[in-house]
Amino acid sequence: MPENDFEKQVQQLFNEMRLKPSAEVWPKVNNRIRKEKRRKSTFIWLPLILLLLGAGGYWLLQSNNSIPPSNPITKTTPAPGNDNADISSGAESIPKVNPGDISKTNQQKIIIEVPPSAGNADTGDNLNNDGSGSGSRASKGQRNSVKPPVNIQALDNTKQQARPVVQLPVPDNAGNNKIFNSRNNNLLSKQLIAAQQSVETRASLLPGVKTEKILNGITNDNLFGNKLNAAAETTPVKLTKKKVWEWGISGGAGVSSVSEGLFDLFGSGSADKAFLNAAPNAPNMSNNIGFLTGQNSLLAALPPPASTVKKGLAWQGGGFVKRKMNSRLAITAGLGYSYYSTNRAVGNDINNYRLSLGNTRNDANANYAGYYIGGQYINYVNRYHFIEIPVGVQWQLSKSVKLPLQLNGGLSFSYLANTTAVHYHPQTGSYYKDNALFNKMQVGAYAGLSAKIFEKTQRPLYLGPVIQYNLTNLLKPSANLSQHFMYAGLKAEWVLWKK
Amino acid sequence: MTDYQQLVKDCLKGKATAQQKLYDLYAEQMLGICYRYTKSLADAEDVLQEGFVKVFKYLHQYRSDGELGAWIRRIMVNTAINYLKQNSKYQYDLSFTDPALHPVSEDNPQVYMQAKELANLVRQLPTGYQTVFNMHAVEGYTHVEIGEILGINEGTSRSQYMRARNLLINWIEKHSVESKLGLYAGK
Repeated sequence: MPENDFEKQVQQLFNEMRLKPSAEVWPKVNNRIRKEKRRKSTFIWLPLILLLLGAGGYWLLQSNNSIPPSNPITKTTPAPGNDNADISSGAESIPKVNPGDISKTNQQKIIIEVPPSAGNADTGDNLNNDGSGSGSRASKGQRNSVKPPVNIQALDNTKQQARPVVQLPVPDNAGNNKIFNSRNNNLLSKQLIAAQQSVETRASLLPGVKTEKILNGITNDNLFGNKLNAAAETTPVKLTKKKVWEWGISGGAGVSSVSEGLFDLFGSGSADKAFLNAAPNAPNMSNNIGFLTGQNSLLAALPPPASTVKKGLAWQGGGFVKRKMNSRLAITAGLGYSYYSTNRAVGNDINNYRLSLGNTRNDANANYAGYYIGGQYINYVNRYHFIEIPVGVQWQLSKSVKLPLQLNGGLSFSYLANTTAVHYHPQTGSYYKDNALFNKMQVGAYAGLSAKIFEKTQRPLYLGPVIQYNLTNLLKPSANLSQHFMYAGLKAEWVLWKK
Repeated sequence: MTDYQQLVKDCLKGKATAQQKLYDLYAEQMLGICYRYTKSLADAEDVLQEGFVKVFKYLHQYRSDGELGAWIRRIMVNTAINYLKQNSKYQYDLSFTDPALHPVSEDNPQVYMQAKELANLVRQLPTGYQTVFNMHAVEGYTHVEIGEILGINEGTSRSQYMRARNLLINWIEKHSVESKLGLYAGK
């Protein structure tokens, strides 16, 4: 019997196998299909809706920008008299009517007033029967030879940027002045033309809307020349996607010091006090010190006080990432290396004698890299190498276009990777190294102010002062001393990428 | 255009009646497959549900030149295997830790039993054996293919299959003897 007979039988049996599923299965399948469909349709429609919204917004912005912003008029411009070189060269003359008749009360408004009976030297020819006027002169783009008998009063305040409202009183059929407003200050030039035109036309038949229609054919060049055109130039609006992520590199330099507490920041710093003075695990060298230094035992028994710890240079470097939460608030994080240092006076290096110290405690741990006999001879630099992770917030104080200011604050988590700092041994007056006495993990608080330079560029720079105070004691509790790191300096953050 | 093609077209249009019709047409057959791969009917129905969701999701990828039932069946098998891999209660049992080859059984007993009875025996196998047996003996996958799908060696697949087959044959023979005894006892 062939080997696969068994398999054939099994296959045949199972192929015919049918099991009726419970009634709950199909509704579940159906529900999930519908859900899937809804999700799919959402994925299809959402981009479309967004696209439409975006297009609509863009169109709105474009339509607003298509009319150039007005140049705010800051002083009363008298109607040009005989000097009409920029306006017309024509010979027709219209009698001036109420040259100073424009209201001065509302500084937000530019009022062009046309009296109903203003000149009728050129009336019926330019009007249709419906009163809209053919605008034969205007529509043909002819130069308006009429001096506008208007007086323009605009904003007295040169800083005022509000949109002026153009009010053009147009006489209705009853002979009353009707004022139609245009919120769009960009139509200023057209409105001026309207005023001129209305002077030429039969005022009693001129509806405001139609006036504008008539004027559409007249270009600024025809009437006001390049001066007005220049004033009416538009500023294009860039529609760029708001970028919320920023990456970059940061660096800074300043001074670092140690203090016993926050009060030291403002008072006499503990830098003047002994730093790392009484480490309990300090090697017991009292029996050897006289031998090592050649001092007699009495002198060795009276060690000099700890030398002053002075400020040292410090610098930082690393990278950062920033996420803008809203127009003012951003969350920042980073990773960097920090070098801090302090200075203190020590004595001669007796590191060479170390091996002869047979009774030093913990010597087996090889923690003591060197000893310095107390004395004000040599400047020693305590160097600290930290890996830091600052996490904080950035608050935009001012939205000044020229120099936006940001307030920075947060916490900095750091790890003391290495140090060459020495501890003072009060019994012997010597200095020794013992990295085991340091708290490797540090948490500090920082605050700073930064100005955003080159804001308009793709790669802006944040620059400003920063101070940092380590909340964690630099020394372990066993040292029984409170020592906190401080740093003050200038910090720069250069944005390299935005997303 | 065949009925099946029309049915697929309607399903693609999102017609609920067509979708239900398709489900009704294949659900029983597919549950039989899911049943063989799992240890309980509830799990089998879970696989069936998941499988049909996939069927409707990827129906646009079905080419009408192939048999629709075979296409759905393939989806069900893949869904069942994924279910076994993802479901924690099957994971331990699915481990293939016995790569030793086992001698091929010469036995080819006649299987005098119902499909469901045989399926229940298959389901008593350890999940690894059960899966390999189902894939090789019923679905017709080669050991190379099984190795690729399950992420095991071809040899492991072969070994698992042989052990499964031997066990199953023993059980079937035992079942036959018991049935005969029962038959005689009944007389």
